[in-house]
Amino acid sequence: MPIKDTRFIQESGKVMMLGNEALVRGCLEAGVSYISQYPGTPTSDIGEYFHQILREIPDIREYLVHHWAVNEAVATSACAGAAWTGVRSLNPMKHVGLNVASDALSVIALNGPNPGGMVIVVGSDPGSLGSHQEQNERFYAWMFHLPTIEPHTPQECKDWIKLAFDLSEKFDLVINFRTSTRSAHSRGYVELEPLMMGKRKGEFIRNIPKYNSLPPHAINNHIRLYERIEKLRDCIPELGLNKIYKGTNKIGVITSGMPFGYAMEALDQLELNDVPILKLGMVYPLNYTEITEFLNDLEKVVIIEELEPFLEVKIAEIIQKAKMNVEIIGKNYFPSHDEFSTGLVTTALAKIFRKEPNTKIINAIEYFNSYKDLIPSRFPTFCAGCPERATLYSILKATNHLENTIISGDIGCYVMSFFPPQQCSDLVICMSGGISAAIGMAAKTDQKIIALIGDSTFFHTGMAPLAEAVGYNSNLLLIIFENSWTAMTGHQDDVLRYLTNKGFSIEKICSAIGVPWLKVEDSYNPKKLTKSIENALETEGLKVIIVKRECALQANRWRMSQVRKLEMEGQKVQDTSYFIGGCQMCYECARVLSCPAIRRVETDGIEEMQIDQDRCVKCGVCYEVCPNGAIRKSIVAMEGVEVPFREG
Amino acid sequence: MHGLAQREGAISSHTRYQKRVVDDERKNLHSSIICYGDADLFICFEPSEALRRGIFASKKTTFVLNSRTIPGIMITANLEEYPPIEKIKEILNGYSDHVYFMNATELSLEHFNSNHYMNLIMLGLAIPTGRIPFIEIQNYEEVIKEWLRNADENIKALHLGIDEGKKIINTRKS
Ligand SMILES: Cc1ncc(C[n+]2csc(CCOP(=O)(O)OP(=O)(O)O)c2C)c(N)n1
Ligand code: SF4
Ligand code: SF4
Repeated sequence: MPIKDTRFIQESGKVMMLGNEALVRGCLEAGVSYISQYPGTPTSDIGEYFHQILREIPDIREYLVHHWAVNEAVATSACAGAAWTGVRSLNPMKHVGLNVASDALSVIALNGPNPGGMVIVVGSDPGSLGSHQEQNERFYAWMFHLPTIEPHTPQECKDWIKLAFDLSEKFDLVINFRTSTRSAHSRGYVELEPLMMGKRKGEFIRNIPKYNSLPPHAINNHIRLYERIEKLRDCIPELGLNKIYKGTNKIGVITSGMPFGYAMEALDQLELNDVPILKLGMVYPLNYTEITEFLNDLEKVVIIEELEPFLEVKIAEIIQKAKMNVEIIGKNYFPSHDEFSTGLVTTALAKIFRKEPNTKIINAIEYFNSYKDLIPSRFPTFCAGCPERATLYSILKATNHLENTIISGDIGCYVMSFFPPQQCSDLVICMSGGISAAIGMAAKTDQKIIALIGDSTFFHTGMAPLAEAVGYNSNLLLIIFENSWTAMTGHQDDVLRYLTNKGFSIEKICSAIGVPWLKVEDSYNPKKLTKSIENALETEGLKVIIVKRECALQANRWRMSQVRKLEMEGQKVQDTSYFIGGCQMCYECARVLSCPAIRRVETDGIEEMQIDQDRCVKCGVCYEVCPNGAIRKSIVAMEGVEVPFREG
Repeated sequence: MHGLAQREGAISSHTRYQKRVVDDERKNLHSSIICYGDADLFICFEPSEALRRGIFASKKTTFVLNSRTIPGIMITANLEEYPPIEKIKEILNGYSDHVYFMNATELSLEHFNSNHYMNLIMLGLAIPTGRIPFIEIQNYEEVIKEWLRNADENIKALHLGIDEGKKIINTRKS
């Protein structure tokens, strides 16, 4: 973001934007007035841009409302509610968010968003670049009849989201705007158009058959849904979303979204510039005439799509209905998992078109393979000073390295706890799947069970399973990481922050639900926390420990800003640092705590641990845990102001 | 780009551009990701990261690397080996002769008392390799002023990188 960012508010011009930024700009040009979302890569930053705009121009708050919802199901229904008052609403979510939203969405799609318009943005993640799994959510489009638009460039992100709102209003359909980690986070030039203010107020008008999809209206709405989708299907060719690149080759290509880019460059590299290409901007529904006309002169058609074959199945259906004789090439040449690349598409197309494979690509792969085993792993792990890492340290200590103990993990930064060297997490399902699985385990095994959950996940879907665990007095320990942020997705404000301002706390909720054994601890006090975990595990029934400590990344940002401020005012600030002297190489800090600010160095054949001063955030946990007293604390400018991490 | 850098993970981002869009659409850039073997320039903030993304390199690639290693927790825990710097150099020299190391983190700490300027110093090192066409130094300065806080310091860092970079590249040539 530039220091003075006018890209969202200037009336015209050509600016450089990320896909997601362009999408937000498109919403502002479309007069969107309500946005609700639960964060998730690659859609979290959409909300951040809206917040940036609302911060910079407070006057538009009357016209534009953004909510960080507690979960996707709430966000989706909230967006439907807003649309039913006649405004335009936007509902971004990550691909797995759609699983959570799907129950609500199935009905909203049936009812239709009119009189307003509603667009969901689903950030897919082929290659699982920022997610716990990959899935082809296009199948929801088919199941719920969600017209699905897939942009490829930032310009398309902007232009097409506007179109999506028009279509949603015109056809009374929820539109699915499917981006991906790549399209959302690629930059390009965007030609701007004038802005349009969203509606300040709407009005809900009673319409019992439309908004009550129960028998008999459920069936009628289903019939109506088919009528609406068929109307849209008929006008697809006029929408300008699909594009044909003409050619005389008897083998053609159908593709969409990011794979279109790989396909275009692959064909050029293979000098296959006579191959006709159909680029689909709308992948559901398909217009039969448009597809059959493209297939008419072809003997074969290559479908280039990531993940499970969706287009392949839909095109096969059209070919079969039209009794055409066109061979489909798809998943027999392309993988059904992971993301694609130009290299992968070029290699597959070379085989399909019987071309010499590209030697540059082959050499690149071969040479890379010759040394790739030497590359040290660099998987994501907790930041230096992370309180969650410190808590896992205490879990390892309290259970004698997980002896007879199951760790039922969950989704948040603590999801990384399955990685070595801590290797704490035994399983992960989905948000709040950890405590839920633990309830079942507790019913069937006498092993000790520790379930993990973060504060945002607790509000997302964690309270319901906790209530159930209270009900059955499940023999498990739930550890709640209260770090005050939705950290993993880039630190959105937790609902917790709003609640805390109103005197609410996780502690109060746990007490109110009836948790029989409850403690609040600090992760930066590992000895006390370890003791507390030991006590909990000796107690039968449900136990909850809330570990309170702000996310170290945010806490350090805040602390450094305080230090800078004080220094600007000419004040002296106390400077604490930790360093290692007389290291015994016991590996306690490196294998059990494993803080990344610590490194192993060898000087003159002698190995020792050292702290990278520029990476250490001075949490002091290593100092607490070193069994040899080799980690020392030094304070320079003792007389200066002390700036500790903020509490609570 | 590939996320999770703030949580110590590996991250890479690709930059591609062409001077102007041509009429034959099939000849324009369409993918934001580089093809295997097709990168002209690698700017590596950590030496072993050059190897991790090596599939995008070939004999035409120039490498500029920050020599400060970040071994990662598996190496600190002695559960994995970090390849010797000599080995990394040898592998990269298998691609091309244009491999330039500079301790940008140390320069940043030395000149700015912070590691935050390492990235602009590295960009500075990349400029005298001549592998970033069409962009003038003043363009970089404009963008820094528009996009970054502490613009003056960042511009200083850029020039520090350029000056140090020129020395490194010229020594190699002579
Ligand atoms: C259904 C669903 N929605 C969104 C996400 C994206 N997501 C992954 S981790 C996370 C944050 C969890 O926050 P919290 O539980 O507070 O843990 P923290 O990251 O702060 O440690 C989110 C929103 C997801 N994985 N699944
Ligand atoms: S972002 Fe915060 S919670 Fe997540 S690993 Fe880093 S310090 Fe820990
Ligand atoms: S004090 Fe120790 S544990 Fe904390 S960040 Fe620094 S090196 Fe890591």
